[in-house]
Amino acid sequence: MTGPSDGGSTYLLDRAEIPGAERLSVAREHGAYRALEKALRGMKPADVTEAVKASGLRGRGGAGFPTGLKWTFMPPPADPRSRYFLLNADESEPGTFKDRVLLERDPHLVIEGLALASYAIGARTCYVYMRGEFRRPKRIFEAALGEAREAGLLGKDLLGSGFDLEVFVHRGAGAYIAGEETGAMESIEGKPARPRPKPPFPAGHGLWGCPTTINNVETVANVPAIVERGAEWYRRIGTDKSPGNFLCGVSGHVNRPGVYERPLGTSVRAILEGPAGGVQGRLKAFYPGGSSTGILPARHVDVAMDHESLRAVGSMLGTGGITVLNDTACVVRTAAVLARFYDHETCGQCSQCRVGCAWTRALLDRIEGGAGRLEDLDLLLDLGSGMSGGKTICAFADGAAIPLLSAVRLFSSEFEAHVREGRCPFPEEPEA
Amino acid sequence: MSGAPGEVRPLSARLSAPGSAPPPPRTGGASAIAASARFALDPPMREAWERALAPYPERRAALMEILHAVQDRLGFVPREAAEEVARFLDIPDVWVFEVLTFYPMYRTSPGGRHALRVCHNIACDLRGARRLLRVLKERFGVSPGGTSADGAFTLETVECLAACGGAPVVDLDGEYREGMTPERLCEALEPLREGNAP
Repeated sequence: MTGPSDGGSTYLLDRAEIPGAERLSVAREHGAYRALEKALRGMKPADVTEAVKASGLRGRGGAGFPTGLKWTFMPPPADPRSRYFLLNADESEPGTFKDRVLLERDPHLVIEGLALASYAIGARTCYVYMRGEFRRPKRIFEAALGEAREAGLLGKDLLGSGFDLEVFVHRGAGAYIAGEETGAMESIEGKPARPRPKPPFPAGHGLWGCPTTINNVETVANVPAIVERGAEWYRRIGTDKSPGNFLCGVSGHVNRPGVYERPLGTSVRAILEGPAGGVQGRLKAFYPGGSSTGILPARHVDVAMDHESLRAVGSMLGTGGITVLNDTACVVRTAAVLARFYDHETCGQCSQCRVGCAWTRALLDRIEGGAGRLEDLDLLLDLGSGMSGGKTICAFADGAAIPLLSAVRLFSSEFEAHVREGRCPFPEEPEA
Repeated sequence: MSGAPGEVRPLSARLSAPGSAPPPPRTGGASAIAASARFALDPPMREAWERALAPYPERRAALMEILHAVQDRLGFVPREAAEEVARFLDIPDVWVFEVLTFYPMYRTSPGGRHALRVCHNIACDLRGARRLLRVLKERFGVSPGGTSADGAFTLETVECLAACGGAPVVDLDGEYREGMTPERLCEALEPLREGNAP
């Protein structure tokens, strides 16, 4: 868990490295809440939105939507309805484990970020949707909320500005789909987390039909630095279209798995060979941004971790979590593991998704088990195309189809070898 | 592989081959929620339920937190509790049952004394989750979905716990244990077995 050793600027994990930073006194010694003070004392809500817009910050939850622009979708302050800010701490995308680091190691950075976001959009209530398994992060984060409230950084009349903000943690109970924006809203309302058809969009019709903005934990963790140091400073980090640093979680076959802060646009090779300590064995493939991004063969190891570069090679930045497979790992098995995951997690509203997930899972299990047929590969491609292209209520089905289609297309010889040999040609346990 | 990715053959042609039909839909639902006489809405429980209402403009929104409160106490949510929750929130029983059965963390039947959740998603699968499941079966006689004969452990396989940097990860009674090896897992579990209670 370190920032660049190459002299680059860091601002996401600086305090997370400091022991005791979850306590308010330590966090404040190291600069916490300076941006919130600056905003509440000298900036109008629209100024904060403007700064975030100008920074080019894009959401870190997977979709990469411009954050400042999202905030402008909220109706004007004259709208009489309650307004909500929803912080998405449901971190559940396989291969993604960065938000937990922030929640546990630097909760005050997250609280400062959500307070700035709430101020910008005029929300006086913030819900933090935290996955149910996060008992420890919840304990630490709620203790930090208590300290912040005690110090007048939350609650009534923040720092004497007249702005009120209450923050509540909503405990999830283990459904990946609850991390989808409107799935999280249904869940907070006490219902199954079935995503809502859009439109209407959350900014106009979110929680209880009221204007709601939802952002990921890492996204709001970028906001204090932007407010404090300015959009121009921020834009100097990363690439033109993907500015800023990002938290890169590296897992799988590397010597030092972990979460590392790097500028967007850093190459996969630089991350794997640098902070991640090198690949264990020979690199075969990697998922660049969580399980819903296309798997890439080793030849793409020099690709830059930013939205545009990854799109150009047929994948996506997603959540920025790189999962590494060495050449003793089986791509078919990995595809089968993910198909099982999506089948377990589909909410079942849309037939393409409900049936597609179950069917692709069964086919992949059959191929991995040695009983597959060559026609199954066509069927997988056919099912994958039926599940993708925005035919469903939410992006889940696309997310399930992308890793499947990329695996079948880019590693067809591996699938064919399973069918031909009637067994999985790889060792039962990958060598790491 | 034959045929272009975009090419679609008639469904009948695909269904004619054995094993090519989609699997049947899963069954289950409210009938699977166990009854129990252990539940009582005593004052501490009622207080927890009242507290759960505070953050929300509508009573129904407290449902998930209330179910957590029941499960934290009893280890699962029995049918009697679910019906009592419905009365407390003034909502139909089915609204409680659907939430209880939609979210996988809620248990609807009692488990062992210790809850063991082994992540078997990609990062953990790549780094030895299968070895952990094997040792649990061999040494503790417990398979996913089951409880060991001595009632000590209920084992579930779970999807990504967001701790991939520490794969393979096991969640033991709500606490993450990262970088698990078969040896370390046995070390953690042995003292929790019946007769070895601390």
